[in-house]
Amino acid sequence: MKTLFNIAWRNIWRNKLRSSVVIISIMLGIWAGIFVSAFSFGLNDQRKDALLKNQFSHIQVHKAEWKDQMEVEYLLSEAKAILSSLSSKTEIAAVAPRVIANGMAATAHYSGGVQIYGIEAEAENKLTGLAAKIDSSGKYFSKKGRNPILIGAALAEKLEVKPGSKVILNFSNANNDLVSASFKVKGIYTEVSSTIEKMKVYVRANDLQELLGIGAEDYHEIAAFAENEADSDSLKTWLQGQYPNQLVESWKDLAPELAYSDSIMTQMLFIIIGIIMLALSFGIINTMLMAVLERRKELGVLMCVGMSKGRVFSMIIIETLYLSLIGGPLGIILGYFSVEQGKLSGLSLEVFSDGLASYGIGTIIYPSVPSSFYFGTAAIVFIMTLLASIYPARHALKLNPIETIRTI
Amino acid sequence: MAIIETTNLHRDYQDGDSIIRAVDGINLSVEEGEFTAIIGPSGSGKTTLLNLIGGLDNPSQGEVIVDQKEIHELSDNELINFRLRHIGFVFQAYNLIPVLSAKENVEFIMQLQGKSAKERSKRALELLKAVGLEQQAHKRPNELSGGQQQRVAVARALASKPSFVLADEPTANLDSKSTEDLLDIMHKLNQEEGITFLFSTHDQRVIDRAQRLVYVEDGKIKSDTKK
Ligand SMILES: Nc1ncnc2c1ncn2[C@@H]1O[C@H](COP(=O)(O)OP(=O)(O)OP(=O)(O)O)[C@@H](O)[C@H]1O
Ligand SMILES: [Mg+2]
Repeated sequence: MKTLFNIAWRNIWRNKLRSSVVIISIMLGIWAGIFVSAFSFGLNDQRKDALLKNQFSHIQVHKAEWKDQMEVEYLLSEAKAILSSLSSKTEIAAVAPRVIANGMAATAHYSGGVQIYGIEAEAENKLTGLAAKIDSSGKYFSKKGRNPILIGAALAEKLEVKPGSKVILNFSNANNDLVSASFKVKGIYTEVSSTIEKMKVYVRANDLQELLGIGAEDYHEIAAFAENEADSDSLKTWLQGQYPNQLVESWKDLAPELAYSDSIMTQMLFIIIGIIMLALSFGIINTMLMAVLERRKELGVLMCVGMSKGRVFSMIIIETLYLSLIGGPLGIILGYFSVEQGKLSGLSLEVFSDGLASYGIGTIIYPSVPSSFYFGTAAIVFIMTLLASIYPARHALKLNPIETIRTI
Repeated sequence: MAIIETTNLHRDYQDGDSIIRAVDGINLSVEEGEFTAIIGPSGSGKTTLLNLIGGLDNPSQGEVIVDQKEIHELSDNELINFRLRHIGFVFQAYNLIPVLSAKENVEFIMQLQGKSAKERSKRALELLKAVGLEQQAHKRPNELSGGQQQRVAVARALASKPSFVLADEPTANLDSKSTEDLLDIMHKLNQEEGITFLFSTHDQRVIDRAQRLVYVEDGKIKSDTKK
């Protein structure tokens, strides 16, 4: 057997140019495949991180009915206790309560539907980093001032407001009466997603509680961010155990598509690698077929002097495997290093920034690949090459030794 | 005791509507230690006969008995094994594995037989010495002349300690000097080691050196002379 490997190895270097071309194309194909994958993984990770940070957090608590209908009256019954339970838990990084109302925001120029978030300025900032998203023309909430409001840049443009302008919010209060209140724009925030910019306006919780006619410690939602995302599920279970009457959800409940996106992404990218390898396989088959046809007489002599068909078959398979066992790992190594490099510098997507913003991603992408993906790719390369080697090897088997030596 | 025995051996080829009787009822017996040349015009059936004896081809009719074994009854895999142990082959060309050195080529057969590395190396060097190529042991075929390559092929054919060596026109591609050298070596091996050679040839120099001449025409033995 050792001899077979030895002969096969030397055989692939008989035509250096031809073997090199195959090896290099496998290398480049795999490299490209890995890099594209790393880019997609990076995009996906960043989108997920952004959405968790800005929108879903890791855990949310509501009154059970809230999920079906966001009515003012569906208040959390134990908000204060839940808040203090969460705050005292070391696994929790940040927690913030919210009052939420659906309504309309209007100026003389435009009016549109919005979700009004009544927030506790400090807690909310710790949770989502809202203050940092306010552009330089305005400011984040302070204790001072009456009815301040923060508006997304996209909405501000439509309403044609800037800090200092007035905006009218209309919504129903706890008694189902229509409330109309004037708010003064305190700041304009930008969000990675322009959809969110158009939808969410932030006011102070106390202002909204008063207008809704609910208590100063009444909230609709409590959102919390764990120190470590992986703890989301166990924290959810723990909290649900503590407060069985509330609806506790992790981000996986809130955004299931986000939770699946990882595995769907991995599957899709493996398919892409598979397609690349499929294309490369034709090159491999072609090369090996040429190698077999060129060496018909030699193979014929080998069979005549006592090399069994099984050995000839194995020899061709081994030769084929060598090609991709050089090219594949080279491509994977090259892929690994360019991904690591990409992690440091990031890839700027300034050109597409508008499209990406509405998708929930920043403009610099940091490629990333789970290490299991490298192994998966290696396995695909190996299996596809093995399949590709069968045809030329079978072709070698079909050679009739006497026929091949007769024409010498 | 004969080591090769063919009885009423036939090999027909279908050529369109007509049948070519490439080997047409040959009875041939070769004793141990013979140095026999099969001669005859082109197309007379020499190669076909050697292929049948070597178990590379199946007879249409008749028997081939090698070392008391009826090889026409062996399965493909049994045949490969049988060839490996009983018959050494030298072909006209493309004999050697180009990526292996002379020594590795000789060892290769023994590797297929599962001999130990030490034994292989020892025997390969002995055989290369016997064919006068111990200096060339580490050269690859393309670094050797045609004659040297054929001598390596003879060494390889002997590596498995076969009962006899079959050679189909071993000198056809060689110049006269190389032909003489190869013949000297084959003759010496025959005389000193008692190795049986059965070969086909057109070459007068080879015919002159043969101890027995089997003349074949139209697939039949026309004359059989011992010197
Ligand atoms: N595979 C085949 N199919 C059809 N006819 C064949 C085949 N092999 C050999 N023959 C025919 O059988 C006859 C004997 O051929 P063979 O090769 O044995 O002759 P030879 O004596 O070796 O000739 P040469 O001296 O030219 O090598 C020829 O007529 C040849 O055309
Ligand atoms: Mg012939």
